[in-house]
Amino acid sequence: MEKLINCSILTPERLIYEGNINSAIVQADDGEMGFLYNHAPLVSRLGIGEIRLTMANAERFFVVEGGLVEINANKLIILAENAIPKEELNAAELEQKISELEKTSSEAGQYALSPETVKLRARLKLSKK
Amino acid sequence: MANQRDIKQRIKSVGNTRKITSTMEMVSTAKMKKMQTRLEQSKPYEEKVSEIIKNLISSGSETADHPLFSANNNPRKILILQITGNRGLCGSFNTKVIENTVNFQDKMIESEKEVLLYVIGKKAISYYNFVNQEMMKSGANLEDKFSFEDASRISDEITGYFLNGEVDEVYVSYTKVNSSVNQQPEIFKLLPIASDKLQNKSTKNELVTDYIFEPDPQNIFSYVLPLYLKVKLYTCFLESAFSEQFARRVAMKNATDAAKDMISELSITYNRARQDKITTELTEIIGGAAALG
Repeated sequence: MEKLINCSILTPERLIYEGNINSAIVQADDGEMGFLYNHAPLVSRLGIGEIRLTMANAERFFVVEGGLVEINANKLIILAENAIPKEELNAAELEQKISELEKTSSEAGQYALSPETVKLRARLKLSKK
Repeated sequence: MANQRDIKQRIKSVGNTRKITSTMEMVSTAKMKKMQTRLEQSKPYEEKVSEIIKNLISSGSETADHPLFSANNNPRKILILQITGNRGLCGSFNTKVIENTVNFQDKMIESEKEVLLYVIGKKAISYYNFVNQEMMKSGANLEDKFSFEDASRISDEITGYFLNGEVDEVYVSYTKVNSSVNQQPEIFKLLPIASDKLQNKSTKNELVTDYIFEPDPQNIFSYVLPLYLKVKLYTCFLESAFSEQFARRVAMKNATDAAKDMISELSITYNRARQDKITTELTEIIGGAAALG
C-alpha cells in the first residue's frame, strides 16, 4: 500500500487544496517543518512562508501567511489565515506593490519592515521559483 | 366603474412592477447561492478551529486561565453587536433582528446593566436614530464585499474593548441559518468564551489524542482563541448575509405572485368594462334605428 497523507489547505474564505500527497513541508513558527507518513499527532503555528507538497509525480507550491497546522492519523490539515497557490501569483505585480509600499513607508520615516511587506516578499520569493 | 383606459394603464404599471420584482428575485437567488457556497467553504474551518481548542483544553489545565475566558462575576457593561442588512425590501429580516435585540436590551437594563450597541447595517442605524437610541459604534454592512479581513478587524476591536475592561460581556445578535430554508434571529454570548461549552462537546468524542504542540500549548492557545473569535464572527456575517438574500428572495417572490394575481383580476375588470361599453353602444344603435324606422 502506498504511504499517502491526506492533505487539505483551508482558509476561512475557501478550500485551497485537497488531495493525497507523499510529503509536505510547511513554514512553521520558527523554521520549516516536514511531514511524512505516520507523523506523530502535532499542532503547530505557521509563520509567513511557503508550503511545498510532494506527490508521486508532481509538486505544488503555496504561500502561507500565518495560521495553524494539524496532523493526526495521516490527515494533514493546514488552517491558514491566508494562502495562495503559486499559480495565482504574479511576480511583476508583486514587485510593483512592494516598491510602492516601501516608498510610502520610507517617506513616512518607517524603516522597519511592515508585516505587509514581509507577506508580499514571501509571495514574490515563491513566484520567482 | 373605472373607465377602460384607466384600467389598462393600471395593468401596465402593475406589469412593470412585476418585472422589477421578478428581476430582484433572480438577483437575490444568485447572491444567495454565492453566499451559500462561501458559507459551506468556511464551515470546515470553523469546526477545525474549535476542535483544536478542545484538544488544547483537554491537554492541560493551565490554558484555561486565559483572559478571554475570565468571566466577570458581576457584569455591569454589556456590548451587543447587531448584524443586519443595509437595505429593505426583504420582509421582516431586519425588523426581527432589531426586535430581538431590543427585547434583550430591555431585559438587561431591567437587571441594572448598562448596554452599549455596536450596530452594523444602514437599516438598523436609521431605526436607532429614529428612536433616539444612542449607539456606541455603527457601520454599514459590506454585504458581498465582506472578507475575512473585515471580520478580523471588527473582532480585534471588540476583543480590545473586552480586554481593556471597557465592557464585561459581548453578545452578538444576528440571524442564524438553521438550514437553507430556516433562519432565526439569535443572540449568543461571544465573550468571555464559555470554556465549558467547548469542553462538553469533547466528552462525547472520547478518543483524545495526545498532541505535540509547537512551540508550546500556551502560545498556540493565545493565538487560536482570537482566531476562533474572528472565524466565529466571519460566519455570523455570512449567515446574516445569506438570510438577508433568502428573505429578500421570498419577499420578492410574494410580490411577483401578488402582481400576477392583480393583473389577472384587472384584466377581468377590463374585459367587463369593454363588454359593457359595447353593449351600451349596441343598445344605442338599435334604439336609434328603431326610432328612425
